[in-house]
Amino acid sequence: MELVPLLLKILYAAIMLVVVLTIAGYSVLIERKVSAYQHGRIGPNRTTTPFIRPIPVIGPLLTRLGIIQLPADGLKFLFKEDFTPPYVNRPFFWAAPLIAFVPSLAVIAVIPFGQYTSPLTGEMIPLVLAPMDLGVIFVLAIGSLSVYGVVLAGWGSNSKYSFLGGIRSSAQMISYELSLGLSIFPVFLWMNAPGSDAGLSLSSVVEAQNTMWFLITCPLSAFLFLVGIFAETNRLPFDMAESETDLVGGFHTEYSSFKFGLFFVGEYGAMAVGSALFVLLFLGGWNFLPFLANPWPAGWIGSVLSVLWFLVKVVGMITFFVLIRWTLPRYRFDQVMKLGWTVLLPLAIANLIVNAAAVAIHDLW
Amino acid sequence: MDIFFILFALLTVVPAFLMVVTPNPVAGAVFLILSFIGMACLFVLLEAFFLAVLQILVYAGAIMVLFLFIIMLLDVREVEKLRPNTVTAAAAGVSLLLLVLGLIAVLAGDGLSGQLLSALPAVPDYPAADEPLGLAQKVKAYGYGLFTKYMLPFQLTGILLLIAMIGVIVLSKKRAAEEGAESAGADS
Amino acid sequence: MNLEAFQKIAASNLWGNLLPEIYLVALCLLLLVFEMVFRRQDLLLLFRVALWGQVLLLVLMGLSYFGGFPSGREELFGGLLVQTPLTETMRLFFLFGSLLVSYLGTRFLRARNLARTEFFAITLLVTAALMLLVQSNQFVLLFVALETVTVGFYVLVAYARTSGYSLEAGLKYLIMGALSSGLLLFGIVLLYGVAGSPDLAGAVGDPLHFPSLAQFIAAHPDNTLVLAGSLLVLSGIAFKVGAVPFQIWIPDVYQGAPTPVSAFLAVSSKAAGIIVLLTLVTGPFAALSGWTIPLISTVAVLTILYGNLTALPQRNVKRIMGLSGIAHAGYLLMGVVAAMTVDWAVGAIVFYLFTYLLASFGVFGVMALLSEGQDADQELDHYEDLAKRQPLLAAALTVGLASLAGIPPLGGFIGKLVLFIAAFQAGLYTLLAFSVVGVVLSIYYYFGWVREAVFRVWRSAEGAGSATPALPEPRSLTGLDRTALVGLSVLTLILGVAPFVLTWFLQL
Repeated sequence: MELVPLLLKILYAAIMLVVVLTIAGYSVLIERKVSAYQHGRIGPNRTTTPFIRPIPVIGPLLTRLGIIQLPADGLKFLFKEDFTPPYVNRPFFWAAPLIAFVPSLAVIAVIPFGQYTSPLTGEMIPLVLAPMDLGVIFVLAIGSLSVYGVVLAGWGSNSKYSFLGGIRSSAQMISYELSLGLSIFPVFLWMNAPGSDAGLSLSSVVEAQNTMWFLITCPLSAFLFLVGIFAETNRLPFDMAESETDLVGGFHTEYSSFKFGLFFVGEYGAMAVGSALFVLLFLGGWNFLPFLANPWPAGWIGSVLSVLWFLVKVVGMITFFVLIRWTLPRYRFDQVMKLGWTVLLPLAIANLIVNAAAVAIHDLW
Repeated sequence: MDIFFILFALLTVVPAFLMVVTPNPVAGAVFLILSFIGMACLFVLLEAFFLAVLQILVYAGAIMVLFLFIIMLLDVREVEKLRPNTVTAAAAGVSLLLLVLGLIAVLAGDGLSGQLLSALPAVPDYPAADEPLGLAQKVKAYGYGLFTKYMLPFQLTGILLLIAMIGVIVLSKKRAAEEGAESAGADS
Repeated sequence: MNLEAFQKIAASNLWGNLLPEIYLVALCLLLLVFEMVFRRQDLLLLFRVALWGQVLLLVLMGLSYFGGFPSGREELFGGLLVQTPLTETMRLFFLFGSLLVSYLGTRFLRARNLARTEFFAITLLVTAALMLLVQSNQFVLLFVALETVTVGFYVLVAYARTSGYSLEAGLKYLIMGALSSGLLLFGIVLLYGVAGSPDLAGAVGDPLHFPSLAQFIAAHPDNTLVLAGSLLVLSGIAFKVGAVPFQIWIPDVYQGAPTPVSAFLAVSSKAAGIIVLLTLVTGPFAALSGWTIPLISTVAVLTILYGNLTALPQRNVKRIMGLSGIAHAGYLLMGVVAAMTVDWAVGAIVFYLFTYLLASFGVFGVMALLSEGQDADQELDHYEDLAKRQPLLAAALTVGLASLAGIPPLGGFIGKLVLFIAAFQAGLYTLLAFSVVGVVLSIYYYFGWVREAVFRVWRSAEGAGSATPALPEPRSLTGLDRTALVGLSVLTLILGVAPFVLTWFLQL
């Protein structure tokens, strides 16, 4: 491989990483602000720095919005004492945060986030780091690895609360991965119905939703996928691994400082990626609205607009995640298992069969 | 690509070896996962992307989670170091010697003549294509193969899974009558 | 993508030729649905459906032969499957075996209070897989079918899960079975790799397809990888057959497994292994006969000697059946070696398998009826004076054991005779000599058992004190039991005295 394209790729990857981490970081702020709104509070509104406060109008506004809260929290994690309890299993204890952090970010390589329409040829190119035709399976595969971070943290901490969190997390992961994987098959069945040849890439999903979102044509799939994503990202009402009411902090009870920070960012990163996936699969990606043609003009302006529209949808999904967290109570562990195996899995299988039959009937006509 | 091959081969073999020798079952499972990931990387080098992703999805992502879950649930602590007696050790030594000799014989003979597998052109099992296959179409070709030529083994695999499912239920589920008998036994 | 080629392959998927297998799977699903609907495990209906469903299939298959028994060789499913008169006969064999296993299972499950439906369900599925196994003509199908059978047996062996013996047997079978599957798979991979390698002249498109592989091996019979691969494949199959040096699991597994399962393992599983071995050595590995003949001959001699010598001092009847089963596998291996040079030996093998089926199920049936579920530690002493207590059982036992030992005029005698003639024609004189020694040894322990059951044995007064714990008195025999035992004995006799049966088999 030549050097320049290689360096360019690395540069793109670095930019992408920074963007996703920023989104992940600011989704913490979204969480805090939205929860404050739901509780009738104001949320973070004091943190500021010497250089920003004196700026008229903008300074106080930024302070009130809590924009500075994120760097402050990050620095706090960095400078706190990094305490490793003496009884932990060190290699696992140290590796676990990394293992939790890396897979959720590795997935972004195949996530498309916009389009570029060439003004000369009218050809549409999706913007994505690694155009991979196996996109969606790759996302599922890498995403399934992230559970090891939680499991190993729970086991390596050598504490009962952490251990229970790890065990619950692995059981939950096994149970919900099935319905998550099955739920997206109908989407790809419709895309690859006889006569069309779209493959399995995420950008072709977006193309297929040019005027009609899959949320409308496959609502059950969308619902199952949404539930699955909630479970996979350990968000309430499925945050069995943390479950602070009965497990203190679950798998990260023994963690402090930057290692805890990695878990924290990893969780929000997974949430951001999960939101992006849902947007791509069911909300039309960067397509404008259902039943309407894309208004994005050719050239780079259209690209920017499509990316921005995609980001708007993703942020909307993140807000939805947060709203759910403060709306629904947490399930009990046995209820989580029961829901996964006796409700979601049969539903997902039935959904697949019905859609397959529908594709076949559609083909006959 | 030689350097990648060596890198990934090491990633496959070294954790596999460590998995065998480690006394800690959780560490063993983790090494096995690493080895699976190395294997997936080797598949990528062979341009079998679909297989690579499946390897991670099925083995590293699903089956090993189950393994870890069971190891943790049983709360297996470190196993005792096995002290092989002299006979076992001698037998192992002889086996190793034979294995190495066999390998040398194969490499020196008219086998694969020491070529790296990655250097061999892939022979597709499905009917030869006229045009070069795109990646998605490769998955499609896989699907076509599965549902035409290998339909019967595919269906039979379903039966295999049915047997496994019935078996797990029948071996692990307590029957009502049995419970009654056990509690009666405890009373007397 | 070459769609026409795929369409051509899809067109050769003639599911109609697999109706017996499909019927068995459907019957299993029907049973499972019945249990779900009625929510009762001990329903008599389940037994009846399982048993009479198989009888119906037997009848239907029989009716289908009025148009003429299938003849000739037909490749189906894009070469995955091949149907010959031999595979058709083996289908009947496995169906017959599964019918008898289901019947014995009825008795056993009732006595032991275990889950019922699942036993029949797994038996039916395993039988379907056995049928596919002997028809397979390609390693993918062979391996999947073999695994289906093996996984089914893992469950069946450990079925009596309240008994420590059964669980131990299940665990041992699981570990050894996994090892042998590994050997087999590794061998297949080596063969696939070398036969598909474009570096070698005559590389074939589908190296897993038996005729293609045979073509390749004929061109490269001395290739090290071919030799290593075929050796591993044969080892994997030898495990299923229970040939020395892969026999170590047999006594414990046979003793621990529920009696119907021991019979199933002894008869159907072994028969499938022998037929697969036969297919392999006469098909893809035919060009390797230069070393497969000495190899399998040596294995056969060791197997015969091991089985008979270890069975001699045994007192536990299930271990006797297991160990003597190893010896029978040895005779069958001799038949396989003979079949590599003498064509009609295939028929002799199948005939021998049928006599073995009838006699074994007779003996296992008596064991199951006598033990009432407490079957793992049934000793020879329990058979004392059986003729006085249960004359019918003693008679059936005697016929079965005599047929196993090879006493004229029973089927076992003719079976051994044709096998020995085939070996003689193939020039396997040393092997033949060892087999005769084996038969003589087997008469000793089989008749020790018959003597215990039929003739009054004098015991010293001291011996009476240390008698083995008595088994519960068996329930009285039902009409079905009587019919089954008498039927098996009569069929054994018919195979022995009716020459037209033998000539029909030898045409295979």
